[in-house]
Amino acid sequence: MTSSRRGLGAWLLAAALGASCAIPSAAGEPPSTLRVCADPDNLPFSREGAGERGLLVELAELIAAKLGARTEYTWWRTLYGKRAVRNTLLAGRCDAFFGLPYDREFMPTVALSRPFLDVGWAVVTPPETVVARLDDLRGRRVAVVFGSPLQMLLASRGGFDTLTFRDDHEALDALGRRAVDAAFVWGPTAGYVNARKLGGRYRVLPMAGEGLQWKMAIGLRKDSDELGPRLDHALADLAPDIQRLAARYGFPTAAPVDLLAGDAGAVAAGREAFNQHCSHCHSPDAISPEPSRDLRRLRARYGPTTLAVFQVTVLAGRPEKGMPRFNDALTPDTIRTVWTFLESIQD
Amino acid sequence: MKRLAALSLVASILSLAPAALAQTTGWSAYGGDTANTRYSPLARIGTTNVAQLRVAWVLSLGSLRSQESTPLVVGDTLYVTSSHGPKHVFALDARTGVVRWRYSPEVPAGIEQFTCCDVHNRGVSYANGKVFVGRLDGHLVALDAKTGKEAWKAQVVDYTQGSVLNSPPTIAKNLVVTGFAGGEFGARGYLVAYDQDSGKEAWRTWTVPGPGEPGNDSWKGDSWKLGGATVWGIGSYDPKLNLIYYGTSNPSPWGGIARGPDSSQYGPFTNLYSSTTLALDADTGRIVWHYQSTPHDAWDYDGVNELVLADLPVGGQTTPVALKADRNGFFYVIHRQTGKLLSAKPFVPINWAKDVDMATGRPVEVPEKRPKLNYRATDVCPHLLGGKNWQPMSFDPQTGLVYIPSLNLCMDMSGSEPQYQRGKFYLKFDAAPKAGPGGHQSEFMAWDPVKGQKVWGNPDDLVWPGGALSTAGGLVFHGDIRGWFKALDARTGKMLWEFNTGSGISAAPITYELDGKQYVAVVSGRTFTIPLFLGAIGKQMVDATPEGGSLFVFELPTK
Repeated sequence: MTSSRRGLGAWLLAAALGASCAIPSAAGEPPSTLRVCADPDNLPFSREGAGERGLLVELAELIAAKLGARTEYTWWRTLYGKRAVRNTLLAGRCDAFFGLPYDREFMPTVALSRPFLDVGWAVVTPPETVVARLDDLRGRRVAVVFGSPLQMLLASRGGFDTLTFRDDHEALDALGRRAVDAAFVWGPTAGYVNARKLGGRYRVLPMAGEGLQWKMAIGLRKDSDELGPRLDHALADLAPDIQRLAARYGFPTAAPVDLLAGDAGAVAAGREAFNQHCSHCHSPDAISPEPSRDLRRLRARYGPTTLAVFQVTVLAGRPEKGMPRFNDALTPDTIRTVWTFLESIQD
Repeated sequence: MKRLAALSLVASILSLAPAALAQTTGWSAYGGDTANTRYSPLARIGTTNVAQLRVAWVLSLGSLRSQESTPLVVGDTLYVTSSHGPKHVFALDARTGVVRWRYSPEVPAGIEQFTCCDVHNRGVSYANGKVFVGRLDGHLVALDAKTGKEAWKAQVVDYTQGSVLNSPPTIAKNLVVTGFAGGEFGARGYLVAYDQDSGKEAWRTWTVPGPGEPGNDSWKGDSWKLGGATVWGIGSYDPKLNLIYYGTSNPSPWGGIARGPDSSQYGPFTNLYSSTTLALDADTGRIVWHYQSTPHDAWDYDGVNELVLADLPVGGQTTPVALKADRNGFFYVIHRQTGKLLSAKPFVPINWAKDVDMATGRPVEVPEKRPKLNYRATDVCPHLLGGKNWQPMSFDPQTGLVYIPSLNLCMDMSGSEPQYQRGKFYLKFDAAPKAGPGGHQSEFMAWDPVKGQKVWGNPDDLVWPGGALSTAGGLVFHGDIRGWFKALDARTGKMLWEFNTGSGISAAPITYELDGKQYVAVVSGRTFTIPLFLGAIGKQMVDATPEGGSLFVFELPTK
């Protein structure tokens, strides 16, 4: 599609080598090209064709203008996230894949620009519904999206009246027709749909918590060394414009709220369960004089694997050290409650 | 004893073939017959002369990658499909490979962006002068077998929801029955039957029961609505019992906590009819019995593996059984009339379950091997690709053995893997596999289904062996990821002949006889999508051979 054109990477390389066409002019030299990959049908992020084009497309245009380049788009539906990146950016069909998570672990084969926008999950409610804690929504009908982290979170806590929807738009539709009292959806989509379709009637509250808030970046090929710094400079310069764009598309701007914080009741229940089932060996409140049994040191000892170690140890026991298996003795809920308590006392 | 049983088996298998298709010298259904035995009574090519096998002719399938088609031979015509849509359905002179017609449907541009899995196609079905093919765009099409012209077309599913057709349908009397693949964005599986002549829908059966139906309460909350259990594999049909057999896929979403307790103590939350073998009344689609091999699945132990129908001596009595080498690593023998579980034995190294409780039919789980929310189970065997994936096995009534292209991979997996949704971010752990015990990645094996034990096995240091064919010539044929097409001694597994086709072979071979000459045919064209999520092992697969797309037909030299 674009093979006959000179990519920006090539142009930048030429510039680095001191070629005379480093600064393209309107007359004579053809402008260089920023080849962008984006989803053709995924507002508020990107859309092919006339009309509203999405934040990422508008950003690509701003960046290109700053670099003195023209844009060229390869449209690819991102229904399967990593596959879309493989089939476009990594296949050489474009130089920049707009809108990837700023996390090296996402796809180690992809280089990333600096992050330029905070995005994440949100809970959407009518303004009269005040949500300070997740438990405030017990007894209400809440929409969750199929396979989403929030579906899992609510399921793990139990006691919520959840209705499952295929995607954010279906969940927000249900909210609009009052089939649910709240919806857990992706914040930017919620803000956009609220602004454009729901008359701005709803409150979009970004949620803080592990895996719920992200930074957005641009994906690059690892061999395009020259493009990265140029994009990073442009993104830094464009920071105010990006915030303006986010506001125009209705992205939520409020600081994320931790709806699980101050979950004192759960911690107390966990302490009670702990003292009932575990304190014989691990001392009341897990404060053991014997360092190897002092469970306040779990995090220090096991780092990111702490939870996994906890679960395996509790379920399977450590017979050689005298720790029995609790798989049959405790319910999963009790084990989770105990963990909530232990988590709250880590050094 | 075994010999006698074998003879009666031959008789019973022949009688399973519908009268109109009774061409013992052809290959009239995907599985050779609707019992899916992939066994041929042809014996001109045998252990003593197979070493002389040579290429008769080759057809370029016109597309690259992921060729999974089983050709059919009806009369003197061979029907074969290519990947990508299919890009082509070919009807050929089965003697020479000369093309008689070619059907090349318009497939929507960019359909690859929607397909859940790959752009493969597993071939066509044939009945009463019509050829039936499922397409990536969610349509089932009937073609005139003489001309390749479309007779009718029915939309089975909306491909923009990530659901596609890539397996041939099942033929049962006047009906043609199909499911669909996918559902990554949330789907509720079903099977649908159409009249062969008119394309009119005859029945539709949901594989996840709705409210008020038995089994609906095996799902937590409203999780049944998008509960998966799609039917993307191959069906079997027993005309005497008038039952259709299918395996269903894993439940959705992957995170078990959305569908029930996050625990091996799942109680009633088994998530019916996911990862299940279903027997359906062919006339009405009513579910007559079911056996769920992996209740409340959390490993993606999809149970779609094909059922092979055979009559085996069980407890001293010839018994009509259905055989299944399940993704979850157990080999099941089920009474195919009643659904009673007769045996369940691990055919690959497994550690997620100790065994199967024969009283309840349920696996006895090893709790620390069940992935849970925020808990990664480590070194779980088998890997989510299963002890066996879609590549078909073969049952040889002469040896009484089943030939299984088995996988030997293990994985780490957590139970909170989110489903991808456009525009949203999360870190998805790719369940990169590791070779299982022994260090080999796969093993083509002979399995005694009565004794429940392996008879011989050929371990391979690479994964993804091709499907199997057994013949009365005492031979078993199969391919591998390096492109080798092999003939083995069915009794010992000793390799007697091999030929390199230049690209990996996943599909199963066939054999047929025309004008007194026996041919063996197989399509070659390495899998494309599977290696992409297998990390270092995937790299080995890609390095093994380039993409390809050819039908190879072999014969003995003319004296």
